Amino acid sequence: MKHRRIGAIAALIAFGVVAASCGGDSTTTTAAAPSTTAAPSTTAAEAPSTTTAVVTTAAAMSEEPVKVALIIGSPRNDLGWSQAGYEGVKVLEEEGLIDLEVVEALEFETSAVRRVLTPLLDEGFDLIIAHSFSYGDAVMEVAPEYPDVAFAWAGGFGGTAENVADYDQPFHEASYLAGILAGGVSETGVLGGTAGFDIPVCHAMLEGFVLGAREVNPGASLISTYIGSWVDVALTKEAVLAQAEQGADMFVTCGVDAGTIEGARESGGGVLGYVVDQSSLAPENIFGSMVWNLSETFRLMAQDVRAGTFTPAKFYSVGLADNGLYVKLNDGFGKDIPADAMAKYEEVLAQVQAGEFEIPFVAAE
Amino acid sequence: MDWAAVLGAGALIPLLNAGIRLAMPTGLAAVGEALCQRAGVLNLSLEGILLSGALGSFLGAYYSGQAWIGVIAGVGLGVAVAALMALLSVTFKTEQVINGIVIVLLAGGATSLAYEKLFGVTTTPPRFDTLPSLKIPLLGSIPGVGAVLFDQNALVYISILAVGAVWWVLYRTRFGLSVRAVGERPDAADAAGVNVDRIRWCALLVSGVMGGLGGAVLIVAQLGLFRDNITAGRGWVAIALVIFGRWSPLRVMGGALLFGITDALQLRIQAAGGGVETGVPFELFQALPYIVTIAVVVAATAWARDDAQPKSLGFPYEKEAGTRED
Repeated sequence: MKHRRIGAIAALIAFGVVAASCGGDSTTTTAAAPSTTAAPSTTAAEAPSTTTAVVTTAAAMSEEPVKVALIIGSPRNDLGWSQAGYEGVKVLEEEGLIDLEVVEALEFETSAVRRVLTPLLDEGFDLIIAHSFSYGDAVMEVAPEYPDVAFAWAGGFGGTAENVADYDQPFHEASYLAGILAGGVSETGVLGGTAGFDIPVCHAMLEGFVLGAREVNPGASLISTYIGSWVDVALTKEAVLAQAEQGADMFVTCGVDAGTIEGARESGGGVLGYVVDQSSLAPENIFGSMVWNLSETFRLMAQDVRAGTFTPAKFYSVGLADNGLYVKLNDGFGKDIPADAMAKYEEVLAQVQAGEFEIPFVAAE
Repeated sequence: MDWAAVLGAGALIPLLNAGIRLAMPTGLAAVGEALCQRAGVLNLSLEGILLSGALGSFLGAYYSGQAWIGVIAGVGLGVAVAALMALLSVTFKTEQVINGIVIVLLAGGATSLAYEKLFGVTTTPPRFDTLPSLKIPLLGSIPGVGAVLFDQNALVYISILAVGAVWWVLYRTRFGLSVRAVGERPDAADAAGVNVDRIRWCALLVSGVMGGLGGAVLIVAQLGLFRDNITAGRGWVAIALVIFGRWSPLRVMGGALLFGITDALQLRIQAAGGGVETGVPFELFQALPYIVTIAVVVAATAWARDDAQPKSLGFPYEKEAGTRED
């Protein structure tokens, strides 16, 4: 019996370590985040006369920063979706527009997300950005109880409520634009696309790539593989190698970028970086990256909160035309981009920016 | 669709090679688990061992620049996690299922935390070049077979030797006999003078070596990078493969190869067939390895009739009250 009791205690300790390692991480975040701005420690009356007024001269800064909490569903260094969100708010924090707290909530069930949201609501945040499609249910459930708090979630289709904004992920726009270059570079006319699951954003992104390619090579075709996981790097790499065996030499990816880039490197193909500038990952193979510049989207939200115009909440759709998204070309790319493809790329980009051309969104059948 | 692109002579060698690559990490972990379960310990911490082995091998290889240091570090961390499992399950005799799940959770959080603290937020995450393939002279030049069996990286050869070694240990050594005895009738083994706890500790450590090696193969031989949860559930598949292989190391490895090759095949069918454009749900392709494996398990179980599961699997062993020293 003695052994059993000690064992039970040991198991409890082990479990405690788990809880501590997860919980401890967000605690350190809490401690670290406010230290970059002095405002939270001073009272509202003192703030302008002490810290903020000295640091910056901009007229707008006489107002207090908007208190923003960003909730992300994977680590902030995931070099993808969550990192794009983190960098988006980080820019605004450095500008002094917002005070920031980042919370990593690795569970998506409504009850679990509620546990994350509740303390934030009690701490008086002005704007809570739930940076995942999967947080939608929890946010929609909580929002009516806190009408004074502004919420936003990554629905991507216009799913708004009175105080819940939605924001778009128009990845197909950048993918189409980059596809023009891919169509010019590809020697086989076969493109490869990978995604974790066949969700609308990803489907449209992959199809947009080949539509863009057809601007310069009408015979271009697409091989698309859906992996069934967002995290299986090895399986994704194998999928890309299988596509390369069947002729694909230019690749695009939606959410499974690590394995796709490794596969492109090994097969000697070109690949479009995903969500952040990934050219350093494979300087010879990445011809450009689709950069999701979320600071533009989040800036509009923060400004609306400050101006009191957040409600009724909007669908923030900031795409290629408004710098919410852009293609960052990589000069070190190992193959030559043909001049006619480059010219077409410039032309389409100019048309989109001028509002003369809308890049098609291809939905699944 | 173009079947030649999937099953033609030219496509067969890349298919088998991809199958072996996909099978190796899971297969190694599964073979170690088979030995462990033969000793009566249901080691559900396997996913945590694989993941820790993956992180260990990444850190070792990245910081030293030497693939072999990576392999050693991966195996070391795998063994450390297995030792924690052994401490809880064998020494303290607590519920094996709960210990295993707790350790998987612990490893998931700890590896993510360690990686984030070491490398932070960056657009240039660390990576290193994976092991080149090592063609065995003469054998590697045999048409077809040579390219599949004798033109792999060195770690694949070591893995094959390791699987053979586990088989040999289990069926041809005194230790292996004790392992099998302890998994069936620990009380009888105990009466015959076998130290049940020591055998189970050793079996768990072997499982740590094999799981750590599996993680190292994934990182050092295939990817050269680390991401959160990079093993993506391979440890759980490995545990299922132990049942598939009816607790025999070679059959378990065969199951891993079947699973890996089917996975490589579904990727090729999905690509050649036009994927989602054909109206066939892509989930069906992903389910293929599982469907094939389950079908073989059902067939094998029906055919074999006898129950291969070790009788005391999952039960901590405690001596009869009367015979206890304390």
